[in-house]
Amino acid sequence: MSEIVLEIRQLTKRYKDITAVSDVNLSVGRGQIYGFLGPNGSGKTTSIGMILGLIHATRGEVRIMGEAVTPRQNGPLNQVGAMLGQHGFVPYLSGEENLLMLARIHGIVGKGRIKEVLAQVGLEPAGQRKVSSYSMGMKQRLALGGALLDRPKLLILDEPTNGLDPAGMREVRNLLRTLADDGTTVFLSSHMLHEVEQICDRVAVLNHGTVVAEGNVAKLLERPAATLVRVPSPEIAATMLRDLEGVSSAEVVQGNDVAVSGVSAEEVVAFLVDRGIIPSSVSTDQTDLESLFMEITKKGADS
Amino acid sequence: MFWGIVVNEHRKVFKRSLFWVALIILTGISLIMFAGLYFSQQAGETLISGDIAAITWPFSLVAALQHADQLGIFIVVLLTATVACQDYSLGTMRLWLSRGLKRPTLWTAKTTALILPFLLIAALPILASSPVTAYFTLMLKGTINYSEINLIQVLLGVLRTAYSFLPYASITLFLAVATRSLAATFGGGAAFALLENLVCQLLGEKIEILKFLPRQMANSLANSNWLISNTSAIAENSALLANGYAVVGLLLWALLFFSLTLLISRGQDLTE
Repeated sequence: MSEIVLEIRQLTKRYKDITAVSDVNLSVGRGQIYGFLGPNGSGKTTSIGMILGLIHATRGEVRIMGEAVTPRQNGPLNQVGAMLGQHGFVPYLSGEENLLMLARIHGIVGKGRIKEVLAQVGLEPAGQRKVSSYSMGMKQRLALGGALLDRPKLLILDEPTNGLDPAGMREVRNLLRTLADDGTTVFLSSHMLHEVEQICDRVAVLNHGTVVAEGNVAKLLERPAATLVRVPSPEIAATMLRDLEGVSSAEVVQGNDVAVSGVSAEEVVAFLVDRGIIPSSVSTDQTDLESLFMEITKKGADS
Repeated sequence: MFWGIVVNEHRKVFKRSLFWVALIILTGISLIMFAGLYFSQQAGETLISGDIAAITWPFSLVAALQHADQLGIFIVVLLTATVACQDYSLGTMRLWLSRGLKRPTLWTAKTTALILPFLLIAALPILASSPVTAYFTLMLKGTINYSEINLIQVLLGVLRTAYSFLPYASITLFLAVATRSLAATFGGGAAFALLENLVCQLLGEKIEILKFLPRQMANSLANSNWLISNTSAIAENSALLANGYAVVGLLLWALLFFSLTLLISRGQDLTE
């Protein structure tokens, strides 16, 4: 992997008896767009809080550009642009004034960069308006602008496309891709799996505070597609198919269909016909991130 | 970065309508108190000489500082509570700290930024009421004797009043960090100020140790405001500390609670 920008080792957070995050390990290389997925309450926000030095880790460490980050030692964060779920803007000040306050923290002098960022996120005409009058999408754009203000090496974005219309989502996707191509590393949490699939190079799926899958998006999706067969007695067919050598799973889905994994569609049809069951239709179910995510998180919930 | 945060905090305070409304109320109450006494006198009521002195120069200037001191504390508590608690509730603190800003730097800058609003709280009643009481002075005494007024002491009076706000700001910050609730912080800070004032009024002269409370030490400093009149001297009061001790004592109160604020803040998890 290229230069490691963000490294997390055995990151754990316990609140009394509850373990919010458990032994999370991941590395994000320079110029990567890394997706951090998980259902609500899976520990994404707590993990991001620890990465940004806002929450004390019970165990483990976070390193940004090789330097450890903790709430008391957060110097490396000056190379990070963060967009939080709760934006943190002062509602009675304008968008421009809010960015100006962030600029002062970074030691940016003058309004030039602020105008530039407002234009970059499509908020230039609304810069003078109070944030309290902004729509959810406008606040998202402003938060993204705030994250970009200091041209950070690492962007940490919590649900960046939340509240945006489809055109806005595409703009953000393109912007992040351009930034990554220019060497900016992006670490984003999202529940918009389709978005993540389109934009991310790698993903980690978090469930109950534990990383249950991690890797290159293309590799994670690279698995045999399930065969869907429609038969008159799906329960009986599914039970029979479980005896077929090589079948990893055979489950009834959507009423009359049986989803079979681990063997080819030809093998499934031949097996059923031999036993007098003639499928009325046969198709393949292509895996996408959403079904993978559902499968992984369902396993976690069942176990 | 530190001064950048101070400027940011000033923006937040001075653009907050609550602050200006509170200042208008403070000034309004002060003016009503002066006007009430004046119009009572005009209506033929016999005022005691102290009351007439209180609405005429130079003692009206001392009275205006008293208004700032006694009523201003509640604005100080309200302002400090709002400044600190809204940073938690809006997530501003999380946003700023996520940029590598250190928690002690943030709290120190926040506290430093409060000094200017405190000076305004201390100065505004005297600035707003001076023309009015000057008019009353002309009406009641026929002339203003400027040589009676020590302008340096007027300025020092404003500084003394603002300085005596520091322990209350510090206690309020501590409550804000400990509770993160605006209602609990304002309630706690205001209750402390009220209770302390009551205890000092009732028992201040009987219980020696009460002179070390912020209220009594603020009273010690305020006692010097009589020097605004060149014809006055500071009255001896066994319930009060000497100015030097009061200055140190008020600073110690402020530092104690500020240190506790930093201590709690260092260990805090800033969740959404």
